[in-house]
Amino acid sequence: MTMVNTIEDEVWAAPSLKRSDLLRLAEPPDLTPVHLQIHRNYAFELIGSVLPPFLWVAGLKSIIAYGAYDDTLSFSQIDPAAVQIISLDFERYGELTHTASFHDWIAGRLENLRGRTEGAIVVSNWPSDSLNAARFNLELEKIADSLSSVFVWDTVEILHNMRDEFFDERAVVAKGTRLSNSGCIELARSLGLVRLPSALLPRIKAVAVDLDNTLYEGVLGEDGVEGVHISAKHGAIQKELLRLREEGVFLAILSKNDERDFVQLCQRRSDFLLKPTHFSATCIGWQTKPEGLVRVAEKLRIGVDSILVVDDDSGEIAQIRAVHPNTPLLYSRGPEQTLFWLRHYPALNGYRANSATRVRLSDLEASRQRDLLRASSSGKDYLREMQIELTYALNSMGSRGRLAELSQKTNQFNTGLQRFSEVEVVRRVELPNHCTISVSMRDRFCDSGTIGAIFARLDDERLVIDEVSVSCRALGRNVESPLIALALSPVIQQYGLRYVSFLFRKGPRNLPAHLWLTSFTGAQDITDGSFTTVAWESLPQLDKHLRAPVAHRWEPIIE
Amino acid sequence: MTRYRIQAAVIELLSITVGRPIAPTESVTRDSEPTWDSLKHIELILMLEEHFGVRFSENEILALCSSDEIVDAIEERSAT
Repeated sequence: MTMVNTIEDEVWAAPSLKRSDLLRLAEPPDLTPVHLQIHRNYAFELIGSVLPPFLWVAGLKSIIAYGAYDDTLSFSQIDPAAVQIISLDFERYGELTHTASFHDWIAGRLENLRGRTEGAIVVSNWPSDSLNAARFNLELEKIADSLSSVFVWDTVEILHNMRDEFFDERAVVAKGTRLSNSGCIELARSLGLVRLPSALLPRIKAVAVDLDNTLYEGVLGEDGVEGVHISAKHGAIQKELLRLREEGVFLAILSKNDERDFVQLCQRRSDFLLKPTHFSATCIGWQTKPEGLVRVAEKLRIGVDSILVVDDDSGEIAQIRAVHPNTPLLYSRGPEQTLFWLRHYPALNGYRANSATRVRLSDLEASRQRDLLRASSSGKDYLREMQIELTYALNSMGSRGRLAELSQKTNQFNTGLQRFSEVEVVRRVELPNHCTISVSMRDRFCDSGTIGAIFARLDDERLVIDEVSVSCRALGRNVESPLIALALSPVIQQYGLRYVSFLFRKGPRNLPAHLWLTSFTGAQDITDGSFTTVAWESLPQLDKHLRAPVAHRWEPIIE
Repeated sequence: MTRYRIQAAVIELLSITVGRPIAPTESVTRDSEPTWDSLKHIELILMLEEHFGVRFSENEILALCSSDEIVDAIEERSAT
């Protein structure tokens, strides 16, 4: 999906939005259509009509389908490919909401819908201060967590921010809802900027910030360490960046400055909350911003299109856009806008934490230590000295979210580019003759968590591998071939198979997967969209891969 | 606010509602505009309330069915 890569119109960020301003906006070109099916018992249309401009920021064009008002959530007509949005006025259920059977009912309805559709399901919680609503919302979170790709849309936070302005009990019959006009707009803003993009798009992996007039007011090189002004809003921006870091988003600095001044600033100003150790990469110097961005991406081992650049200079924003058109950009007009967008930038907020996000920061540091080790070791010694341990799990339902994430987000080492959703992963795990293998890795430097996914199926004497996805965090350890051979070998042996057949699809950045497949299979003519079939025993250097100095084990299968 | 300015603002909001340009002197009714359905009508009311800082009752919302009636209602409130 294409992200709108600059934010020049501040309509979306205005503290008090007007419906007429939103409806006046012209739709930008080149949006990706997204079908939304709404299940509701009130006039959601007043939210839906102002939703599109917010989704445009994420590069999405909504095509909305409404059914009849339905308190019972009968889901009589379902478009299985659409994103399903359930938004209910829970006050309509009265005393029923106090019973445990009401919780069971909503769980049953969500399970029913999950079984009938492919796409994400977004369900709004109950915007109320009552204890009963709080209990229900807690239960709703648990239900959503137990189902694939079901996400809770938090409306309570909006209620708390708006207080009395959230509802407008006047003319409820005519309007079809108790929500106020501004309540509807705020709900659309939260759904369009945060909730839906986080359910549909891969997360931005890093935020690279400028220094002058972005993290403080003033020019460090001219005003000096004591001369720059750090306002309360700038402090709040720094806290937001620290929050994102806690959630596993890399922080980086991309600034035309003298690095020594920055270090002095961190040391001498206690009101500057960010410290050099918070940044996983810095590029502070006099190179151009597009060049600096490439250096930051290299240090972080991610693509430039996974980094949100925050800069107060519109000229530099334009320069980056010209060279890296897919890089998400945030033009920092002032601290208030920057703060707003750090909280609302599409694909930056609203994601569930998983094992991968927790280890991402420590893994980057470990990869630097691995580079040092590699420089001082020979090939085999390097693998041995790394003390790699691989843990495989077959058809593990508990890993479904991470497996889907690997399939959807891996760009460099992804052989099939199938982009399996969580629902599709669940289906493959459950289907007979399908093998879905997750691979976790640790070495002497860190535990990288689940870094690999293999989606295979049995077809006569062949093991057909529809996709192998290995996280870029696991690459560069020369362990890809042993990792995959050790995963496939027991399956080949158990079912007495003779051939392996790899699907390869060419993508913009999966050359590493192509090179590996060529080396692993010995085939020289691997083309886009084709299956490469090789006899298992004929794989070049198979014995070497299976005897590589890496420890490995399989997790027991839990039925 | 003068009637002329009220009229200009109402026409502008109505043109957003019905999705076509409306001449300043044109009189528009719900019956004459197929796209002015019940949802669009509520949206128009919400935009009018936003713009003029007024509040309409349930009965008024249902009764305001033409550009002239809307201008009259807002002018009346501006005068009081």
